[in-house]
Amino acid sequence: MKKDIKKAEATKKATDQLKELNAIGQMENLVKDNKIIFEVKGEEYRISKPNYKQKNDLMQARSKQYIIFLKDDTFLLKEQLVELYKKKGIDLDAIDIEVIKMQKRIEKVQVTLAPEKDEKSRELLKEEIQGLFFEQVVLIQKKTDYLSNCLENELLQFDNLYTVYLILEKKVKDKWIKVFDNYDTYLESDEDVINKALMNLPYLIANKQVGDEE
Amino acid sequence: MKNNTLRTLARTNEMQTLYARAKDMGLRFFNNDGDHSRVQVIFLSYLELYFSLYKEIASSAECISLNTLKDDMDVDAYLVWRRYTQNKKEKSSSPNKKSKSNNSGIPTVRFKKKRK
Repeated sequence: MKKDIKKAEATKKATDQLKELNAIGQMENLVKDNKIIFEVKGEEYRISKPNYKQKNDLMQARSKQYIIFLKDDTFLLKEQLVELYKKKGIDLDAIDIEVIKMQKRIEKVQVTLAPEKDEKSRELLKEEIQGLFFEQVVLIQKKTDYLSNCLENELLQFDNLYTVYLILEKKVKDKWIKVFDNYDTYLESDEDVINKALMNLPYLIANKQVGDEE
Repeated sequence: MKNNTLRTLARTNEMQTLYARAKDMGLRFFNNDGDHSRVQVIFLSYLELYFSLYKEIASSAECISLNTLKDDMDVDAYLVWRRYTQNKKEKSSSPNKKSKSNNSGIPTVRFKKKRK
C-alpha cells in the first residue's frame, strides 16, 4: 500500500514537471518572435503586430463604429451604466475602494511573510495571501461583468475583432497570405480560427478591458 | 498558487546567462530586432527583475535566497517588504521639508471664501 502511494506521488511529480517543461517550451516559442503561429484543423495561421497602415485602418474603422454606437440609444457609456447601477443599489465605486483595501491587506501579509523563517508559519501566510488574492479577483471580475455591456467595452471587442481581421494570415504553399479581404466575410467565417487568434492576441498587443485602467 | 510560466522562463539559468552576456556579446534574444510584442516586453522586464534579484542574493541582502526565487509568491512578498523597508528608512532619515515661516519678503495673500 505504501509502495503504491509513493509510486503515485512520484508519478504525479514527474507528470507535473513534464507539464511545466512543456509550458516553458511553449512560452519560449511565444517569446522568440513578434509573430504568433498557431494551428486550426490542420492549417497554419499566424498573427503579427499591426503595421502602420493596419493601425491607421483600425483607427478609421474604430471611429466609424464609435459614432454608430453613440447614435444607438441602446448602448450606454460606462458613466451612464454606473449611474444606472447606483439607482438599483449597486455601487461600483465601492467595489474599487474594496479592491484597494484588499490590496493593502495582501501587502500587509506579504511584509510579514518575507522575513518569516518558520516553514509552517510561511505556509499559513501564503494560504492567507492566496485567499485574499482570490477574494480580490472575484471583486474585480464582478465589476468587469457589470460593465461588460458598456459602450467602451463593446468598442474594445470591436477593436480586437477588427485587429484580427487585419493581421490574420494563412500559410498557403510556404507563403503567408492575408486571409480575409472583407470584414463581413470574416465575421461569417470559421469561429475556431477567430477564437484562437483572439486568444493569442494579448501576447502581441495590450488588450485592456474597461475597468483595467485603474 | 501556480508559478507564472513567463517568470519561470526568465529566471532559468540559461536565460539569465544570456541576459548577463547580451550587451557584451551582442546576443539577440528574439528573432525580431524591433517592434517587440507585448509578451517580449514583459519578458524583458522579468529578465531584468530576476537579474537584479540574483545580484541582491550575491550581495547577501536580507530576506532573500536562491530558494525565494523558486516561488513567485515569495518573490512578490520580498519585493513588497523591500519597498516598505526602504520607505520606512527614507521617512526616518529625511528632514521635515515643510517650512513654517515665509522668509522671502514677498507679502502673503490669503484667499477667503465668499459668504453667500
